[in-house]
Amino acid sequence: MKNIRNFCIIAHIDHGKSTLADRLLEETKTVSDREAQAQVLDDMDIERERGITIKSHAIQMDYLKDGEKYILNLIDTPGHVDFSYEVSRSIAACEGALLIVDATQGIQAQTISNLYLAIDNDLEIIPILNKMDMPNAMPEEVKDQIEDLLGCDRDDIIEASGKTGLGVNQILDTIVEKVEAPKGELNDNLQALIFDSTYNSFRGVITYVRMYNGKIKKGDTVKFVSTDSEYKVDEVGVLRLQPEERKEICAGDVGYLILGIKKSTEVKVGDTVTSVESPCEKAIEGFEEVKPMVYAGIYPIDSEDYEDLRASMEKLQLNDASLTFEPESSLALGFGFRCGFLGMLHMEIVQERLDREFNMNVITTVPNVMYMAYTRKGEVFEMHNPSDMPEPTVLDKIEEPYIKAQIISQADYIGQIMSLCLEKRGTLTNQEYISPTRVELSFEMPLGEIVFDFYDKLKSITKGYASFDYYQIGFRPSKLVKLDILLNGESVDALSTLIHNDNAVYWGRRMCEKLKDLIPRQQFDIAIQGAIGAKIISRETVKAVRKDVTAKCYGGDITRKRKLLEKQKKGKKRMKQVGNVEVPQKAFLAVLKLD
Amino acid sequence: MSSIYIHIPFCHSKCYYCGFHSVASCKDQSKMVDAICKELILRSDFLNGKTIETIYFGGGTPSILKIEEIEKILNQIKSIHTIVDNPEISLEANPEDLNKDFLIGIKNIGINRLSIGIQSLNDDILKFINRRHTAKEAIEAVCLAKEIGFDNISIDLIYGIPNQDNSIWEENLRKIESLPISHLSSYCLSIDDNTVFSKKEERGEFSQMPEDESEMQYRMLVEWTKKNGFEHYEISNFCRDGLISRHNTAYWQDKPYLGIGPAAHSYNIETRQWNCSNNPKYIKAIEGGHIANEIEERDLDVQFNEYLMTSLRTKWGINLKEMEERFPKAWLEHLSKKIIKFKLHLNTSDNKVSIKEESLFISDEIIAEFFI
Repeated sequence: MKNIRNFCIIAHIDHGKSTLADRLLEETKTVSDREAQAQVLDDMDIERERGITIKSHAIQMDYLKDGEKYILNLIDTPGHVDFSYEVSRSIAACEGALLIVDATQGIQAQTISNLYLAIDNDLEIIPILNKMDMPNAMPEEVKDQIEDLLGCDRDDIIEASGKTGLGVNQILDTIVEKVEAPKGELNDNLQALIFDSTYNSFRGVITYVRMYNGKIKKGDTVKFVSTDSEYKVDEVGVLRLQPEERKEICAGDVGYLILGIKKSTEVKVGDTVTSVESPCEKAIEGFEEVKPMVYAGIYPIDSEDYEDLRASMEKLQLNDASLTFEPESSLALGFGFRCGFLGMLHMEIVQERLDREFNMNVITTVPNVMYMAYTRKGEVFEMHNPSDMPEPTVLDKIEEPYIKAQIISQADYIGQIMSLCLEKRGTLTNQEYISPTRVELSFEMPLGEIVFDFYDKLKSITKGYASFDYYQIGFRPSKLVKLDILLNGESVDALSTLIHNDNAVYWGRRMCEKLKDLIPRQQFDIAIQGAIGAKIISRETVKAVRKDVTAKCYGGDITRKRKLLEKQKKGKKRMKQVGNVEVPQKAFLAVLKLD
Repeated sequence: MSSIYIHIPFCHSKCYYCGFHSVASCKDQSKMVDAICKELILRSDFLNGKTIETIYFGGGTPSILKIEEIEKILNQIKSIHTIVDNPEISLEANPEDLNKDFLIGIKNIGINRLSIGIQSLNDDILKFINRRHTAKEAIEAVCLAKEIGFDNISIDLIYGIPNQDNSIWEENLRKIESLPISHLSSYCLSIDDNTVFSKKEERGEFSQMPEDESEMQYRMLVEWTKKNGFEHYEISNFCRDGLISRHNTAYWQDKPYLGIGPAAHSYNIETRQWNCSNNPKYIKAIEGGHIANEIEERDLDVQFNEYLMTSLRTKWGINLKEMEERFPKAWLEHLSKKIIKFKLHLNTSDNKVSIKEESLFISDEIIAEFFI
């Protein structure tokens, strides 16, 4: 155990985490040249294309130092605020963390929030200044920031570059020297932390664990503390580039378990694995049921595909346990599912994976956060859908979730950030200069205001400089009304939203304008109306199509013209028939991106 | 019955709207004529010995050719194929080429229909689209052709050109009122790929006329043709005295045709084929005794869609009875549903379905939904 080092990497998105991880794997010969490709650990196509990590990954490396062999377990964590709970569990599985800061950008909001998580878990922090090869690197300035933040010695900051390989050996040496070997008792009762799971169509769910105490081998019977379910161990092993079976894994190790589990929802990240015969006294702290932050309906474009959609969602859930769904029906869209997501990125990813991996054409309805509704009779219930909103005569009050937002930016942009946050119903709670030119602002704001396009806007008003992170701080009463959208007089429930009373008229107007741009001209005029209760607050009209004709069709080239019309027909297939109006897929989401 | 199309891929200059294959240099002209004659031999079996009803010289600018060259090609066709007693033999011509000698010459060798590219009768617009003639020359060419004895003259006019507002368009229509024409092809300007206009559009130097305005010009056109005794038999084609373009109508009525020359398209029910659109490559292949072309086999769904697409362009429309014999029942059921959906835009009687004249301007919208 004394030669094991478990560490993770914390970084703001795009600070070069995955690329630097690639270099560590190459240097330790964990991947051969043949296997090397960019972002080795990110094995989903979407991860590589978007350059982000969605799932946690773990990989074991061997490293020789001073004649002694060390086992280094790297746990790569998702780099997006949607997945912050998974990040926190991965951090809990380690004794050390590489804090990667982009030398061209300096410290950002996520760097700080993840750093605090690591410090809370008593991790040894190894500061690394990445992207030193870039001409616009500002090493001295960023080192000042890191010194201020960590109170570390300036000389301890390692200069590195994922691109050129600078500093890679120094990083590996420092991990061995500074990160503590795991503590834990081989002879104690089994106690292991689940930090992720994946699904394999042959083996079922593969559970990733960090062993705290005891050991585990094939044939043992184990149980999960939170669910109290028992399983027989089919296989244990360690995570090399591919999983490698071992006789047993012991306290201090990072490895995997195959327990014959078919449904990924049974495996909860953060849960404790222990032995049935001699269970550990208490579970590892920090476990939480992951609750969705954003809800939206997913409907098949062609109603006949409903059962196919269900099958696809079930398969998707196998390796995305944080996706929740239950059947619902909409007057406008027919049968579909109400789904819970960790955030907007998660939602986009689910929609994209349904399209790519299952070839499902779906409509995602306007997303919303979860609200608490209180009736006059004193009942309380969760509202996942604006259409659940009780009648005004029954409703006592609605509460909406609030968050604490931390924004770090160049001081020049304070004014713009303040007005954006105030517009989003935020209140400033703190303002702190982390350097003469950089400021950290804290706001309390409704979650519903930031889930949609807040981050995009923040980025654009600060020319990309601001970074942002947040956590939930509970529910607060709010004056919300339901804004309905009518197409040719019929209310389209999938476009309903709950918004603050003060913004209702403005939003109603903007949504109608936006829909006017998004709904193509059709055979007849289409009236788009915004309504609150029975009161119409805005209206736009999409005029009937006047011209859609292939004027020239001679010279015998029929093929090309046919293909153009086939393409046009295909485009229509991506639209949902709502009443007699065809609404494009993108209209349901794009209405949120109002300026 | 079948047709032959000859593509002459040369022009004096490129018109900004034109997406057809042609080059603005005539240096290989005589070689090209030889290659065309040779391709006629190489593909003599393509039409399976069917009688030829129409021959069409298109382009490019066929009126660039010398009379002897046109004659050589015609003689070649006659030596290989049987031709009906009253064939339609058309030639596309630009006004500036139509002098007296040329007109007499082509008449003598058997050309009996002229399609004259007038496009506009406004000199500013003609410049804007890069034509080489004036309005006056265009009118004179038509009158001269009539004088020399052409009784089947068609002209082309384009509407929906930005800058050519309703008043200019109206003036165009008024100016052709007295012309001795039996046929009018009038197209709404479309921006095809690889045209000067499409490049200008990409650079933001050109923008299309708003659809409400071009639709207005279409309505003006339809009204004018009615008043002047024209029959609207295809989206963009009008004729008097029953003088439809028999050649183009063959395309819309699923008849086989052989297309000769670079970029020319051929059709024999089972396949569609198109020659390579590069003059030197075309000539080289033919000289080596083979055809540089692409062939598309037509699956039944393609046949279904193309039948709909071509037939619904015309006033004759589709024949459901004929379709029942050719296509699966499920497809016809799909079609019946769509026919109900679009009934306001359709004429239906005796198993025939066609698009109403007032709805032809949105025909793509309808046809695309009819597709399987």
